[in-house]
Amino acid sequence: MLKSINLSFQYSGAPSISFPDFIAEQGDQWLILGPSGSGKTTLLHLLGGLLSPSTGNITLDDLHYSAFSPAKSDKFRGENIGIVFQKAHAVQSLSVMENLLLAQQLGGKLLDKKKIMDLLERLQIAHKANQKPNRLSAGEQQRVAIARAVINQPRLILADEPTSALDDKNSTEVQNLLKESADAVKAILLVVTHDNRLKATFPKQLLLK
Amino acid sequence: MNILHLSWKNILNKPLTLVLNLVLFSLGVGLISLLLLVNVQLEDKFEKNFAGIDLVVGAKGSPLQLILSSLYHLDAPTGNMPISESKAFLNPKHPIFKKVVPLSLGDSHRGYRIIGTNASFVDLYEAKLSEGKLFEETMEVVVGATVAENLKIKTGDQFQSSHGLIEDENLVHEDAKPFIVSGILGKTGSVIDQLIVTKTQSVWAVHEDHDHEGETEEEHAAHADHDHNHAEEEKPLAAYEDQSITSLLIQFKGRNIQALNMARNINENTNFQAATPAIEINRLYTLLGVGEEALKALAMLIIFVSGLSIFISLFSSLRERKYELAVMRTLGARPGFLFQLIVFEGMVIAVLGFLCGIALSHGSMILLADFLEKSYRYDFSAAIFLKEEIYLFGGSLIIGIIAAIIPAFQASKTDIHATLADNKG
Repeated sequence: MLKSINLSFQYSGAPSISFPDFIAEQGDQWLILGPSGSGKTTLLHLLGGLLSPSTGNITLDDLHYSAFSPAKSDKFRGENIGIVFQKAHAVQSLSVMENLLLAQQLGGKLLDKKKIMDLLERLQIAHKANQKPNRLSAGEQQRVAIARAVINQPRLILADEPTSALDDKNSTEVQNLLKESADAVKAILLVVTHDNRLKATFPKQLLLK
Repeated sequence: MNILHLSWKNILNKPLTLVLNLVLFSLGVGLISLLLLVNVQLEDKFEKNFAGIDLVVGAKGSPLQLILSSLYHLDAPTGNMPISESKAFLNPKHPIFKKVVPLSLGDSHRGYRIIGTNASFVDLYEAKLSEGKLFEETMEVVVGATVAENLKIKTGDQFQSSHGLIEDENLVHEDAKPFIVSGILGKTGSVIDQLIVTKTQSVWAVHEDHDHEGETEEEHAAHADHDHNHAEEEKPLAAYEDQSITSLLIQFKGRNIQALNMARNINENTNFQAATPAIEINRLYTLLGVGEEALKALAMLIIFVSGLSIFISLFSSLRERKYELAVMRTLGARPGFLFQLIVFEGMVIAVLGFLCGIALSHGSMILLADFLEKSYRYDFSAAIFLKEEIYLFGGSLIIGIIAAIIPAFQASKTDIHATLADNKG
């Protein structure tokens, strides 16, 4: 269960942004919507432990991780949170397989090639396992990003505009894969977007102003 | 998938940058290592060839040339010393001289110098016979280990010497009597390995037979008839008043004032010059040292530039990689992980550069040794590794680390939020 209570963040020299409280149950899938500048990315980075909030707290299964030290926060994120960005930003010098092995290593998990291949199979990019990321199409790269986010079976998956760089066909596929992958590991999925193509498929939505 | 492995992959991902860095680094390291190799072996050769000689006496001229030709067998010999004027040096009961070794230079066989002297010359270099016996009769020679190896000479072989020190068929003493190889010397590592040693009288004999002039009846008979040789050999060198030698290698009995004044005495009061090997070789080192310092400075400059090149390539790669570095942080990587990643990249380039440099220096040493052997009859080895090269390795590592440390610090400071928020469409 993910709880965000009384959360606010202030950039230096800017007014404080307050975020509505919300509670997400295990397996929930939420869409976080809002116009540009409403703090969608800020909220996602707060939830991902990439930023520390000015006030309030975030807990995952009663662990108050928004108050962790940087080192503890990095470890917690690696083990429990998977993040998908608008672009994959995979390590260019490594193959798809090696990128996922790196994710396992950084998340403190055992290196398991078979598990990675099974996942790539499900995401229909198994045949690209030994390719470098820059040889892949945008849609394929985004599948690699999803694979990287879910490989360590996180409890929370965050996605920041995962589909806005994709065409309609890829957008639908990536959206579905993201939901299926989150379901498969029973993770909470939070998707931040201004992409209206996603609205119809997420019953739970949080609107930022 | 440890950090080193990832560093390695990152370096390989930019092959052209890698090649540039390696070329620069290995040039710098290679040049330094080559200088060390040449220097150490040169000093080693010079020292071994000192052979305990305190003074070299020869005809007036350049003292360095006298030392180089008589002690190192490198330069052309100086002029002649008539025996009639050298008798004082040849006195076996000389109060200051412990050992006086006469040298007659100027002839060679297929590029290897023939030294007319006596058995004490062989003792100077502590050379032992590996086969056969020492020269006893006129025209008998013993051959240095390298000469025997390269010319495939065996005991009992005969050859004709040529005039001068270069290999030239036109200068062979064709109508002179041939030399007969009586023995082969074992390897000593000193210059005698490169020499052919015989009696002073043999060298005279070649020129007399050859020239057919200035030869007395008695000597002619002696050359023709070996039985008479023994009688002739009993005669000390000083008795051949109308002959000449090239120089004398002298060891003192002790280092007293008289001995120390000897060189000045000879230079001031005789027609000859005396040169002290240690002084002349130090002078030579000083001359060579300027060139060596210049090359060293150049090598240092190249290494500095290569360090700069590693720094620049790592630094600019950070800009390309800032998103993937930030994403690694979101995957749980600590700032220290990114720091190590970049430092390892610098170190791996430095280690590869060092290995290429060592390969380069030892490779060119093989070529250089071949050249030195051909032109100076000095054998250098490319297969020796010096402890200085370990220091060079340490230095390389440090340069790799220094070049990488600022980029590494920068990488460890990656602001995940700013980087990833910044990239939003």
